[in-house]
Amino acid sequence: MTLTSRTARLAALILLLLVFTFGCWNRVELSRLGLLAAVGLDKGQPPDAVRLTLQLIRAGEVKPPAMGGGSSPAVWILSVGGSTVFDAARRAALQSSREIRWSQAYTVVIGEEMARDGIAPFLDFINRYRELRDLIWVLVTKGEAEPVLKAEHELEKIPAKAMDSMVKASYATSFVPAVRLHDFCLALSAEGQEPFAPGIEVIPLEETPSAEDTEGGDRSGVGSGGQGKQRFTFRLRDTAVFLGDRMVGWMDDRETRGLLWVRGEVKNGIIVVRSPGSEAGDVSLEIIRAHGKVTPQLKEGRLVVRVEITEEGNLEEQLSSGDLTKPEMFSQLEAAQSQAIAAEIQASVDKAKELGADVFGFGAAVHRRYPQLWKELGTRWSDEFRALPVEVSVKAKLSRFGLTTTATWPR
Amino acid sequence: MKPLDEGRLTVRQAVLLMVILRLIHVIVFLPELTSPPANQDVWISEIISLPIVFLLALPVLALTSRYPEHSLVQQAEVVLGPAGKVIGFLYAWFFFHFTAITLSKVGLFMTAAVLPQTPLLAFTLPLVIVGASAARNGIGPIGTIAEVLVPPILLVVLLVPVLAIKDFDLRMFQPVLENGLGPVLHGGGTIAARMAEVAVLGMIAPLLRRKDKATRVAVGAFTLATFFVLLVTLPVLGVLGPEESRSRTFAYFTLIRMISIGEFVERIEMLHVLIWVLGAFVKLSVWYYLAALALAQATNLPSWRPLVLPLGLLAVVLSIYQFPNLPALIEFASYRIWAPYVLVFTTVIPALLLLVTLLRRTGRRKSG
Repeated sequence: MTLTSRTARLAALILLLLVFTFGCWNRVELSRLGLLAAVGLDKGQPPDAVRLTLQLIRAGEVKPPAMGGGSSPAVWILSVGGSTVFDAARRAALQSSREIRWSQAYTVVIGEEMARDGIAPFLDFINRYRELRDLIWVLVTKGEAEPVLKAEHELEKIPAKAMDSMVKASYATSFVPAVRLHDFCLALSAEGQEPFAPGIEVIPLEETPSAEDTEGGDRSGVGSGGQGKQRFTFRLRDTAVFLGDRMVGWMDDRETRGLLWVRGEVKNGIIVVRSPGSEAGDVSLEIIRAHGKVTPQLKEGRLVVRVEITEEGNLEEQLSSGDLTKPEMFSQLEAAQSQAIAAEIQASVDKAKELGADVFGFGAAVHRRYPQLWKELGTRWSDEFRALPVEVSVKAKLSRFGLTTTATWPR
Repeated sequence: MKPLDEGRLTVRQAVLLMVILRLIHVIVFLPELTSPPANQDVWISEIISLPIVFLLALPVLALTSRYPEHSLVQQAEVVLGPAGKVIGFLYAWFFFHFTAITLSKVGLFMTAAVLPQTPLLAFTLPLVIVGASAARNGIGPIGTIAEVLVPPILLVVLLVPVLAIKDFDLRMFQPVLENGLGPVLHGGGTIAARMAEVAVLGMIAPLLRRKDKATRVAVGAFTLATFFVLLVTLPVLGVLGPEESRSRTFAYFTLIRMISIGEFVERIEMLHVLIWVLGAFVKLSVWYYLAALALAQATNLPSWRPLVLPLGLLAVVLSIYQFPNLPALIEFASYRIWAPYVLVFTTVIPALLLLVTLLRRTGRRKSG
C-alpha cells in the first residue's frame, strides 16, 4: 500500500466521520429558552386530570435595574390543564414563546386536593423526565399550588429561589422538614416508612398603590389608593403527612420537630422552656447538636420501639432576672429541656398514630431488626403502628450560656 | 494452526480488557439489581459470584494449559477434528451476536437518557466504523487502547462513591440475608454465569505475550471486575435503596445525577456518558475483533481482516433487528435468558471439549 493511498483512505474516513459530528442536533440558544423555576401540580377541571402551573424565569429581568435589568417581575406564570402532566407541560408550548427547560427547577409544589387524592400517578413524570433531577424540593400547600407560584417574595426576584433558600434554611428552626424528591420517593417505595413533605402557605402582603401613583413618583399616595391589586407572599408552615401516596393530615411545628428528633434530622432550633425557680419568664435554649436513635425491641413477645435522643444545647436568652448560670439551675434547665423535647416527640407520635401514618420509619426499623416478624406485621402495619408502644428517653444537656451571665435587669 | 494475529497482549492489557467488558454493562444496566435475590443482599451475591466464576472458568483454563498455542475455536478443531468447525462457527456467532448487542446498548442508552431526538444510527454507525478500524488492527492495538482508556474510566468509578457518600445510608443494607442464603447463592450463580469474559479468555490466551499467565489473567480480571462492580452497586443500593434502584432504568446514571456537593460539583452526569462511550468503544472492539478472528479460524482463512467490514454491517442490521426498542434489550439482558445463553459458551462447550480430551487420553492408554 503506497503512502498516498493510505492518506487518501484516511482522508475518506475522516470525511465520512464528519457526517456524524454535527454535535448540536438539538441545539437551542439560551435566548430561546424559558427556564422553569418551579412547577405546581393541582387537580384539573374535568376533563383535565391535572392543572400545571409553571413559574418561568424571564432571563432579562433578573439583573438589578442598575445593570440593565427591568423593574417588571422576573418571572412569568402560566397555568395549563391536561390529561397527564406531560400533556399539560407540552400544552404550555401553545402559550409560551420560549421552549421550556425543566432542568433548573427548584421546587415542585403540590396542591392539597391533589395530594389527598393520591400523588403517585403525577410524580411519575417528574421522576421519569430526563431533564428533572431528584434533588428538586417537594412542597405541599394548604389549598392550591397555583396561588403559591403566583405569590411574590419581596427579598428575591425569583420566588422559587426564595422557596429553595427557605427550605434549605429550615434547619434554623427544624419546624419544617426539607424533603427532596429523592427522599419523598424513597419513603414512598420503602416498607414501613410513610412520606412527608413541608407545607407552604400563601399570606397576604399589604395592599399596593395603583400603577399611576408609583409612576408619578408620588410616594405620599401610599395607602390612600385601595384600588391596588392585593399582593401575596408565602411562608413555610407545618408538614403534610402521607399514607402511601395519599396525604392524610398535617403536623404542626412542634409535632414536626418531634418527627425530626426521632429521625435524627434536627440540626438547630430554639427550645423555649419556663425559667426555673420562682420567677416567671421564658428561657431560650439553642439546639447545638442532636442525635436520634430508634431501636425496636421484643419485650415478652410484645413489640416495643425505643426512641433515644441525645441533645446538646446552649442557654441563649432569658426573660427572667435570676442567675441561671449556676450548676443546680443548669441541671433544672436540662431537665426542662429534656421534658420539652419528649413532649414534642410524644405530640408527634400521637398525631402520627391518629393518622395511622408511620412517618418515623418505625416499621422500617422493625423490618431491619426482625425481618421474620415484619413478614407478618408488614401487611397491616398501619393498624399495628396505631397500637405500637413507643418509649421515649431524652438525654439533653446544656453546655454554655452565651456572652452574659445574668440578664441585665433594672435594680 | 496459527493464531492468525501477530499482535500480543501483556497480562495487564488482558486484565484491563476483561474488566471493562464486564464493567461497561454494569455501569448502565446494573442487571444484578433485578436478578435474585433482587433486594438489599445483591452485593453479597456479587461477592459469592467470584469463587463461582473461577469454577465456571476451570474448563477453559484447563484447555488453555493443555493447548497453549490454540484459541478456543482452534482447540475444538484439534479435539474433535472437522466436526469441531461447527463449534468454531458457534463461537463466531456468539462473538458476532455480542458485537450487535453492544451496538444496541450504546444506541438505546444514548437515545433513552441523553439525546432522545437523535436517530439511533447516528450513534451506532460511527461506533462501528471506529470499531472496525480497531478490529482490523488486531489485538495489539486494542490492548494499547485499553491501557490508555480503561484507567481513567476506573478512576471515575472510584470517584463516584466518594462524591455520593453524603446520601449513603448503611441502613439500606439491612436486614442482611432477609430470605436466607438460597436466593443469595442463586444470585451469585446467575451473576457468575453472565460473565462472557470466560470465553474471551479462551480466545486471547494464545495471544498473551506470556502464555503461561492465562490463569493469572483470569484471577486478576475477575477479582478486579468484582471489586469495581461492588463500587458501582454499593453506592447505588446505599443511596437509592433496593426498591428505588430497581425501578430505575439506569440506576447508576440516576445516582450520578444526584451528586451535588456544595452546589458546585453537580450535574456531572456527562462524565458517566463519557466513560460509557469510551468503554463501550473498547468493548465493541474486542467483540468485533473476536467475531472476525473466530470466523477466520473456523474457516481456516489466512487473515481475519477481510471479514471485519461485512461483519460490522451485519452487526448493525442485527442490532436493530433483534432489539428494536429498550424493553427488547432489557428482556434479553435479564438473567433468565442471558445467563444460560452465555453459560453454553463459557462452560458447557469447553467442559465437553475437555471431557472428550480426557476420555481419548484414557482410551489411548488402555489400547496402548
